[in-house]
Amino acid sequence: MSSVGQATSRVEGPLKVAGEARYTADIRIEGAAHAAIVPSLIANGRTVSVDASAAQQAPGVVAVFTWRNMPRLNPTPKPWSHLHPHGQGYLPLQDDSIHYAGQPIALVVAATLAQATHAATLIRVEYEEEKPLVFGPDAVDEAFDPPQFLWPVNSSVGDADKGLAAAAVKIEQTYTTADRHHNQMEPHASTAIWGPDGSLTLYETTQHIFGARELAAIVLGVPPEKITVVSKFVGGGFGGKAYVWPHTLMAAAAAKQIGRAVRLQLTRANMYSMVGRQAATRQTISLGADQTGRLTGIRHESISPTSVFDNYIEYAALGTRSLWPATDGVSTKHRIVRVNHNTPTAMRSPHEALGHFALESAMDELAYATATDPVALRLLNDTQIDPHSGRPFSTRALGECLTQGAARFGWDRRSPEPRSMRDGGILIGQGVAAAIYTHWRWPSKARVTLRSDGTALVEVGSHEIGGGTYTVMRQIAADVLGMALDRVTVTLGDTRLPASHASIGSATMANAGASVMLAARAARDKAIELALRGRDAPLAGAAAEDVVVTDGVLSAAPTNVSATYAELMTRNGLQSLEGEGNYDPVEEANGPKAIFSFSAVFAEVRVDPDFGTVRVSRLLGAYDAGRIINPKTARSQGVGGMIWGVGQALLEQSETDPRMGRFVNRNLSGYLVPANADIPELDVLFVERFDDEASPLGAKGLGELTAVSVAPAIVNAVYHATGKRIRDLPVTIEKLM
Amino acid sequence: MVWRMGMLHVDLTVNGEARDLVVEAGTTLLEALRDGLGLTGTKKSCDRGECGACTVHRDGRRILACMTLAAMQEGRRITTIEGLAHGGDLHPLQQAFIEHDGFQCGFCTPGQVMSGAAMIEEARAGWPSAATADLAQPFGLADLSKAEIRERMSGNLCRCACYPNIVDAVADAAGRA
Repeated sequence: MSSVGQATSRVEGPLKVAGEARYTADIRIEGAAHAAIVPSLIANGRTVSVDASAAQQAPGVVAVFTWRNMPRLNPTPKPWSHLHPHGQGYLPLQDDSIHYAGQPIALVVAATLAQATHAATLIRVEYEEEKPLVFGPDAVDEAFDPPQFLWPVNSSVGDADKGLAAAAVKIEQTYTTADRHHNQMEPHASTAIWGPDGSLTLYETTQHIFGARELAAIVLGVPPEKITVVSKFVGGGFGGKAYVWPHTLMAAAAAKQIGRAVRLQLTRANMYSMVGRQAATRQTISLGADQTGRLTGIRHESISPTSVFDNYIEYAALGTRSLWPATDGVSTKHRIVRVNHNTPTAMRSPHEALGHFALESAMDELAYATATDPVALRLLNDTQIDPHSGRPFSTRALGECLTQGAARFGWDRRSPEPRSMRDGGILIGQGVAAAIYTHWRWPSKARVTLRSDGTALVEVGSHEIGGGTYTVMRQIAADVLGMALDRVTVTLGDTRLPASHASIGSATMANAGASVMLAARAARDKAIELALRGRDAPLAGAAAEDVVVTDGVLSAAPTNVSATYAELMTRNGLQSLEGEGNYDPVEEANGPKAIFSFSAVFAEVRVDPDFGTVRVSRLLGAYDAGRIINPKTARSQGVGGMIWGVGQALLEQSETDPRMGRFVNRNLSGYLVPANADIPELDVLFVERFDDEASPLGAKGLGELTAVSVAPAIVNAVYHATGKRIRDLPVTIEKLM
Repeated sequence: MVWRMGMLHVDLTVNGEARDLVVEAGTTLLEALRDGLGLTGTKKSCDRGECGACTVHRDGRRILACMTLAAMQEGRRITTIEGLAHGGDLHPLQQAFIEHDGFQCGFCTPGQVMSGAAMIEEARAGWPSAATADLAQPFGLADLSKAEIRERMSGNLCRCACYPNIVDAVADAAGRA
């Protein structure tokens, strides 16, 4: 039986449930010193003086670094790229200026963490403060056109204005989303160890070992081949650990300076300042349609904050370019505003999850304005041609997601009128939203080694961030090799392994997975070659394509001769057979087909009209993510993504004090994330289509897709329940009172 | 417990073994377990009692190791995730977490498992919760509904958000699947 498609349990499960999986801060390095950060209390200005004299005298203190004595760092490359993934372009402790609250202004290194933490409190700082820039009501006037860094900043296909002007029905509204922080359970950590030969080992909480290596090499002035980055288990990434943040560079520079390994783990409060966040957005959507709801024009514009030193764009209108066609045209535009926070970054699900809130809320408004069922409206506007590029979609099963999802959810039992469904005094609402998600094609290398003891080793420089990489790579290799799962071992998370891409953008399965598949094929083909033409070739005369491998045994019908991998190697005096996989796809934008994942999300809420409390009572996600390699781990991604969306819809907001310019709710009691009691039973449905444009595995991206359009489905359900349209996330109690 | 050379010596039992911990007065139990004893299965996430990742058992009851000092544990019996399994056999709840995919990244998992294992015992001992409908009636394991489990496991945050699977795992291990 093929191991791909099987709902196998996670191979690293026994380690994780026993506390034996070693995350970055669990790795003990003899003699390592500990570092603590002194964060800036102001958001804009400079330090006039930093008095470290008391800290330097404190027990256990090894060194105190400020901008005056921190080694000089090389500037990060510009523009930003996936290979040079700096989180913030402004480097730590290089001058006296302050650009955001919580910015490191000193680093204390001591023998123990308690000593470093205590000494950090003894540092006296004198500031010269200026009024901070915040993302407020005036932001619109200060927004500017940014340079491109991922996709084109603006887009225009056809004539959206014409379609809007001639529309029989028009929706024009502004929607806003809040700043949010990743809040991975594992705080970022870095341990830097320099060797006597000038080599550097970094134990990192990273989703991008090779990117971390490249960037550290440039900033620290060390050749990349002298740097090893290790990341075996990551305690949650969600995009925030794909980039190099100041703590990593400070730990490495400090360790070099004191000649001793340094460990630096961020506190929970640190994680609300120096490691990025999801930027708030202010979006304006205009939808034009005919009387039946067929779209004639779409315009989507978004403004989001960036730091004073980088130009980060939250591409909120990205999904609007390709989700729905409009007969006259679609236009999108992004602008950014400088504020005194650190540079925003990718957070599950960057761009799409924000833009879909606006777009799919507006579609719901259009459904009511045209008296069309919200599912029917989307089916009416469905397409197989990408409105943006004009290319056909490789696969687009959005229609099936909508119809199969609606059937399983019981959508036909919904009464369309707002406030028409009740359970006693509780208002019940049901909402739907659709989603499209970008598919990334990135190069990846892998190696698969067949060993003469009948086992196989998979090596790929990818990451385990919770997506199940150890588990699915084993399935892929076992499937190609025709071996039992328990004969295959997977190694990840070390830059000495074959180079792979960042584990972001839901790209690991389709790309790193493809390289593992190719490597396994190469290893298997070498074994087949031995069977056909090696010493005492057991399958001599058979055609290579007729050879099948089952349970590690090679045979070719119609003969009943067979040989195991181990026998072939022994017979030919080999210890192992190595296969290299080099997956090097053309970028999606340059391919013949438009490749995206799709979903439909159905939500049911129960609203207490007296208190404005919203409880999610049901959620169903129907996903077109291509072929599903492991239904068990894939379902968990669906569940996790939907809950991530519940947070976006109802709970999560990082609140900035407009006077001080700093985030005020810097902990898990002030920043609310969903807890167990917030979450009902969830339903996950896969509409599987093998997509060979997306990947030779047939898989498209899933992890981030699942967190898109949960918020609009919930907000549309809230409207159905209450008749109140909330256009500002999260939907907190006071907005419904 | 004695002071010696400015440090506190605390005698306690950790995972069935008598230990003499040498700590500063302000060292949390969490730091003492992780850095002092190398028991890194217990995780530091918020370090202020908000997330449950550092949950351990003290004399059989679940506590947050970041919210208590090591110096307060003289004579206590501490069990960490490393001490939950018996011999080579995983605790039934650990096995259930694997079976029901009750984790993704796994970072909160030791805390979830320790919390869940103690919670099942609380329910068995008849403790009600905020989700218990009728406090006048005696509570038993048979009353441990999914709503009860959700309520009782809400002190343990999971950002990968495996909550429904965690509930299924706890229900299974409690014989309520």
